[in-house]
Amino acid sequence: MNTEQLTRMLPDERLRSFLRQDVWLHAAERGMSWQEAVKDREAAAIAINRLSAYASDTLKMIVLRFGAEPVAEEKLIQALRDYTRMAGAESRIGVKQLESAGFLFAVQKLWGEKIYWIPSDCYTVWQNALFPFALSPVISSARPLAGASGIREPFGRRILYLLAALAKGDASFTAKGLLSKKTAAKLDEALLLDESKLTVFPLDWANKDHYSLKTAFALTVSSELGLLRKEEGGLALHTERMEAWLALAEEARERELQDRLGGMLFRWVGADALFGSILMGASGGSWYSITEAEKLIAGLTDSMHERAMRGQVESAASRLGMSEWTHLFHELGWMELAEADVEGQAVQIFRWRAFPRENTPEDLIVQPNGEIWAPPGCGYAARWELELLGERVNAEEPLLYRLSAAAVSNALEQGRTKGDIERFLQTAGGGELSVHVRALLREWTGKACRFSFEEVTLLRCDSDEMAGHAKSLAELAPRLIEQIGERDFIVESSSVSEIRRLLQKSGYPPRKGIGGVKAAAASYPSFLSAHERAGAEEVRAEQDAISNERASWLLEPIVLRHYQLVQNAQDDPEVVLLPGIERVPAAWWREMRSYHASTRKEFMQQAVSLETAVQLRLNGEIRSFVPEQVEQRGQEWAVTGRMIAGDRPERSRLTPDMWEEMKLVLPSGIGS
Amino acid sequence: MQSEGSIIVQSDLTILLDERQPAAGARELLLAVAEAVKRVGSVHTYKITPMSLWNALSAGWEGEEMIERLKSHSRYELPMQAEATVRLWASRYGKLKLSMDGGELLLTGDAQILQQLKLKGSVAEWVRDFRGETEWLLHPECRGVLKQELTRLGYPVFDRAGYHAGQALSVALREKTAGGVPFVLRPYQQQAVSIFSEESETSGGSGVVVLPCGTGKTIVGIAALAKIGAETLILTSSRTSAEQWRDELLDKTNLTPDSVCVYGGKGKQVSPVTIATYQLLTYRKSKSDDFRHMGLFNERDWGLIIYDEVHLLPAPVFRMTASIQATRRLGLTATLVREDGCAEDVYSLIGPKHYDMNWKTAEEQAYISSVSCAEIRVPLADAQVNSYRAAAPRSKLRIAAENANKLPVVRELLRKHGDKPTLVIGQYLKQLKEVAEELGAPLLTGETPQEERLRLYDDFRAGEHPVLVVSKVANLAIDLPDAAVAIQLSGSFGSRQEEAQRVGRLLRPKSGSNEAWFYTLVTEGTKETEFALRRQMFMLEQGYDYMQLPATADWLDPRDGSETKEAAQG
Repeated sequence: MNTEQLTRMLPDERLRSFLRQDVWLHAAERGMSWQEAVKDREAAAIAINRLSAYASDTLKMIVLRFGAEPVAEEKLIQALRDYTRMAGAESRIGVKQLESAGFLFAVQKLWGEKIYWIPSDCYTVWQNALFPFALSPVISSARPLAGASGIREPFGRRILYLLAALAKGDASFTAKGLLSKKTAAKLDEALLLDESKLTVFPLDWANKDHYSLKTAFALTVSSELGLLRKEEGGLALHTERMEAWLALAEEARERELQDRLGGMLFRWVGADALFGSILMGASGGSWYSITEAEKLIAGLTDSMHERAMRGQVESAASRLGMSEWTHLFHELGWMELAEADVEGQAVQIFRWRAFPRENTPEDLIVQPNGEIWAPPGCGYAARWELELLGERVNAEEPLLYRLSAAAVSNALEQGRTKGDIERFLQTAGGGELSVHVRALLREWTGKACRFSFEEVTLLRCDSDEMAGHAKSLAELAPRLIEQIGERDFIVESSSVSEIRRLLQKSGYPPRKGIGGVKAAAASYPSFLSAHERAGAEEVRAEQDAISNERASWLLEPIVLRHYQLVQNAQDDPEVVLLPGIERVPAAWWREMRSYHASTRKEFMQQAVSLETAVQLRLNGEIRSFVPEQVEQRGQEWAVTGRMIAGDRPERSRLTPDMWEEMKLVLPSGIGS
Repeated sequence: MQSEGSIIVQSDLTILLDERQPAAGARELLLAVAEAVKRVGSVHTYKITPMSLWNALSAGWEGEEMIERLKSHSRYELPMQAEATVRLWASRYGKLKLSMDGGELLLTGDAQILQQLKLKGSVAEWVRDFRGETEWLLHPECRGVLKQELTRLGYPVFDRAGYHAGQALSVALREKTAGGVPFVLRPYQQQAVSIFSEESETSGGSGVVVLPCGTGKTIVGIAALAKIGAETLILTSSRTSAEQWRDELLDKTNLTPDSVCVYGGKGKQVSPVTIATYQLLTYRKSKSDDFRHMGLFNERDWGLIIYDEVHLLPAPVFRMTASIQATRRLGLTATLVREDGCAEDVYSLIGPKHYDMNWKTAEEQAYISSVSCAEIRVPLADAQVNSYRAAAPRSKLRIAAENANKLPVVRELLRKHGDKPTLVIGQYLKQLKEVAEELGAPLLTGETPQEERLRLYDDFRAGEHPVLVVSKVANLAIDLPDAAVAIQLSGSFGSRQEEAQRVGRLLRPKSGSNEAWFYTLVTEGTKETEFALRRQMFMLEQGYDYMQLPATADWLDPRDGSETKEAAQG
């Protein structure tokens, strides 16, 4: 779930309450909304710096350990126990504070279990604020990298090709509520995407036997961008949104796509999101060493794992590495990959492509032989038109299109006229068309679409006599556009009510509804026929399929919308911190003291119950210890838990004779 | 990054030259390092291939210099892939050498490259002995095939195995032709011959000369023959062309008729200079038979083999050429592009491109005529409308081609161009016979005996018959130097090649205004218009444009409306 969805689902008051938290003071003063603030690099960084140590440690652990993947509460608390120095009560405070400030969200299952997540579209911004990286630009000269050379067309163009293929083809659903196989194949082809670069990601999608992953992925992106919408009978372009999207500067378009991609993938890849996010945080224009980025990440995750107690935590081995991410970004046309010599070693390097921040349109070059060169600065609206009028010949810059009879014929089908095509080519090409191009267009437009079928409304009379009657009515006669045969007239659909009134007035009320005898009978169907019953089942199946199609193409790892979003503070039972603290003597947390063995046991039991840490004087040295369990073996007892030494907890088992003095450590701000 | 540069380099080394920008420097660069692919409209397409790049290196260019020059003319940032490819190909240049040592063929060169090639089965199979890291002993017959394979793999090889001198033949160019006309090589012809005949470390030797139609490729061949001074085998694309070679040799050199012959015909005579056709060389009774005339390659001790229209070189001759790499070879062509994609093979077997002349440059310098092309749309004769509508699809084209309304248009065009030598070219004999009869012009078809053909050519040259009606035999190698007008009545479907061949008939320079006119008559509203548009593509890609004229009062002159009106009124 991302910020956009959350904004739709959360009450305004809850959204406003986030910004009332101290951490967002700066953003609030700037007049930002929560949705703006959490994705704004500066505002988010300031807020994150103001988080309490508990909230900050909790967020860091979530970012490193789970990414934007949803996680069950129990697993989250366990991980906080394993990977941080915090005691349970401190973790709960951290979680609570993050929820209150709009960093962490939860859904609640019916039986009360909660699932937590951070909005996937915030991941990169927060990761950068929590773990700022500064990769050093590589200054050695770059050389192509085998297997990933050159640059690919930006993903925005591929989306445009997909939508163009959809608009040119059949976007209606079959009885199963899916696009036809033929259309699905055309979309596949249009994307020009090497699917293997996507399949390495642990994604899941609907109707796998029908749609490829890349098509499901691109349709989801298009849908999320609002370019495409599902209607009852099929998919339709959202023309207004399309118009705005096509008019964007290329940098903005690709940036939006990158954010969407991040938002979609980060939900699935857990801790591996860090690789993608680190890459996405690198600034454009310079080459960076992939090896260096890998080392930075390894340093970060190693330190986290070192904090975890060796051998005691679930392995978080990476499924994905830098290579999968860089090759995906390269495939999507956003990144260049190369090789360079750094300190005598050949290393792989990457560079984000720089796209124009403003539209500086370049004219098409329309050649006399019908070839059209579309230079890099060619606007997307013109590219959209070229997709209709020509066949794309290459994938280089500039792109080469070739006008063809089939494409022009299809353009006529789509409502273009010869004049429209000529005007477009002249305007976009910045000059007169050559004689040959005009001749080609004349040739190709001279034959196609000279005939067409049109749905018209027919006024059908049941006899010649009634036809004569209709013609004789002075008010009605002008509304009879054309007589077909003896008994039928073409009329305007918009005139039907008026014609109905006039006929009624003349004493001949027409049949109700539209259609003749057969249509009238069908509106009151017979349920006796087996044929009819089968038909009804098909319709139901179709409806189910449509509902299924509406769900999504690309699925989510956990479908959060199936559960109840924790929307208000009152929905979420208050976390009871330090239960029973009132029964604990204040001296226990105020000073280090030596206690009798039996009191020591009670002390430790109380600490476990309160989920707090204790301080122990061990061999004269004060150490922090988070007790987890008091074990009784016959007359002997011991306490197990985590001994905190610096950043690194160690699992320890202590018997009461091992420490001299002790005191409870309450979370900051409590008990002082 | 965008600048005002006039070239756009794509990552696959396709290069677009925007002629709307000041492009002289860029054009000069591309002519040196790339192959011209097409010159349509304002953006011309070139391509850097391994061979074109090595040709440039052999002409003294450096890889880094090419990259810098490409960058300096480039509108956008040079793709890294393109830059790296130039660097890679350039780095391999000069690293391998073929040589002869005591009668044995050796491949020597860079140890690292030879190590890479050792893993390639298609190369290793020709090695008799891997003598060391830098020298291999080869099977002697592989010289051509190996060069071809190395080129395919992207490794150029210097062929320094030397040439067989052949039987000496003293030949001198005349200062005045046998017909008494002063004769001197044009500067570009001189340059092409010089490059071919010199033999330095980086250039010269066997190779290909590319010149537009009508710029005197034959003269380059003859001059090369005189310069080498050895017995020569000349291969051409048709019998007529062979005879023209013979006539030119006798006209422009001191060779006597007994030392020059056209192979074939009545006797299978072989002379010190023998001219044969590809068709004859590749003739065999059945697929299982041998090519019985292929022995011509070894019939005499040839010191030079000239391949005319080398882009038409048939596969068996390719194979034969691969086995005679010791003989010096010269290829002549007007086009760099082979339809079968074997251009690289041509270069590797015949030799690199030594000279390439831009068509438009040739036109600007009046080495070829300036041809104006026009398509005239003619309405279908009323009497044929019904039969056209009722005809089966295949018959429709023929009815449109034989549109009776075309004849009055031909008459108008002939009247407009007065007594300029004119070819009326068509596909269907029935139509051609009727037209010839109506115009009172001689008809030349495939059935016309050779002697009769030659007589008709002579009469045409002499102006006795200013109009010649010809069938598709005009497509190939009919050399009518004074034809200034061609009127195409009909053609073979959408054949671009045929259209180009027919326009090519007009390219020889003309006295006076050096102008020529090509008209194609097309029946309006029929399938013929679609085919006509397709036929014109090749010429468009050579930089030509077609006027579109209706067959009404203003159609006659594509260049001058006033004159047209007069002609129409007259």
